[in-house]
Amino acid sequence: MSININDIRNSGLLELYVLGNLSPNDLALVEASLKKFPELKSDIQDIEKAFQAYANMHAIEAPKNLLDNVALPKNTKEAKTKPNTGLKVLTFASLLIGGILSYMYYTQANEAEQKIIDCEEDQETLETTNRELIAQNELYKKLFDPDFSTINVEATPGYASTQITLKNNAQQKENILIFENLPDLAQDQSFQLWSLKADTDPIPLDVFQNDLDVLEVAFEEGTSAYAITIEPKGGSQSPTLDRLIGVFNI
Amino acid sequence: MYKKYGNAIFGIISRIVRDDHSSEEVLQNTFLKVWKSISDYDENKSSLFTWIAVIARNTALDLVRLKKFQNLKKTDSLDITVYNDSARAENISSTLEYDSLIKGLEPKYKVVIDKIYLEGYSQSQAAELLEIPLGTVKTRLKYAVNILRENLGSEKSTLFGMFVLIMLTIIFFLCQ
Repeated sequence: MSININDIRNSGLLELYVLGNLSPNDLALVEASLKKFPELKSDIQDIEKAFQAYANMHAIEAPKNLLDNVALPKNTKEAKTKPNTGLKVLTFASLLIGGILSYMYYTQANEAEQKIIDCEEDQETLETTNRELIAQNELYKKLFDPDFSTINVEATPGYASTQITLKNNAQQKENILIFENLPDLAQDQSFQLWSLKADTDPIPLDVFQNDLDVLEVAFEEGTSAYAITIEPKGGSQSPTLDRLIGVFNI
Repeated sequence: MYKKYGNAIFGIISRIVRDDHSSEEVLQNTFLKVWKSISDYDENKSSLFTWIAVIARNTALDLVRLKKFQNLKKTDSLDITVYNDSARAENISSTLEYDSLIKGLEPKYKVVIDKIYLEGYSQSQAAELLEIPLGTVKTRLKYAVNILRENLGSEKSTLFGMFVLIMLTIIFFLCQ
């Protein structure tokens, strides 16, 4: 059955089309009719105007600021189809610059941190050296202290070239050895100082290598003589007599 | 958009919802929906006002259908007329324009367009409410819209006539 334009106009479907109240079948019929009879578009527009005029006549004043506090979503067609390229570029550039600056800052921070560690190590070394120098200075001062008596070593024939001086202060109970010439040591050997007293076994004292010029050593009360021997590295509890270098007679 | 159509849309919503607070809520939701789905609007299919009015009507009817809302509002159909009268009192259009638009629109036609267009009734609901056959509702709606179209057309003709008259008067004085 073919429908003519007046059938559609008189059906009342156009009014319901404008109201959005058509069933799917009627909607399809009206849309097909609109394609078939483009002049119906004018009827639709007139009905729309009539309804809008009627609505305007029945308008009620709406609250003016109703939408002021509403966060409107940004999903308009423009927002979907025209992304803000400038903003994207700006964001990308900001991120890039931020990344570079962060990397530079990170690198510099690492370098600075390493420098601080180096400085702290240097400071520690310097403090140690300073402490050693102060101690050495104190030690050297004692070498010229008149309260210290000077006792040269009496070297044994096997080590005749040995030259060692003992600075002894009985009041302060201090001993200092000054090495001028020592015999060679094997890798597994050390020098060892002994305290010799009458009627007692030798008392083991300091163990040392041949890498020092001056060395403060232990003071043993009642010692009649100090002796130096070559012992296995680390020292011994009793002296190796065939490696006796020399004796300091107090 | 809100400034241009807000009052007319609010008039439709208020008559459907019949509750000031809820009407404002529906109005707000309507324009949010419009904003969200503006990319779906096709100007070749309908005018912007028609499109917004359909959204507003559906949003309002959705609210009315909520059971809670219906329980809160147990007013009977008699109140509709009362509300319409009070709504007219708030009407921001002039009485002269209104009278011109509804000239010749008898109450039996006006009530149909009021129920269906302004109050969101379906044709069946309007038929039931008004106790008239569905076919009569359809005919009366069609007739009511035709009256409005004619009055709108004559209103335009009058305005055009006044415009021509004014222009001729100006030309006349200029030629003197």
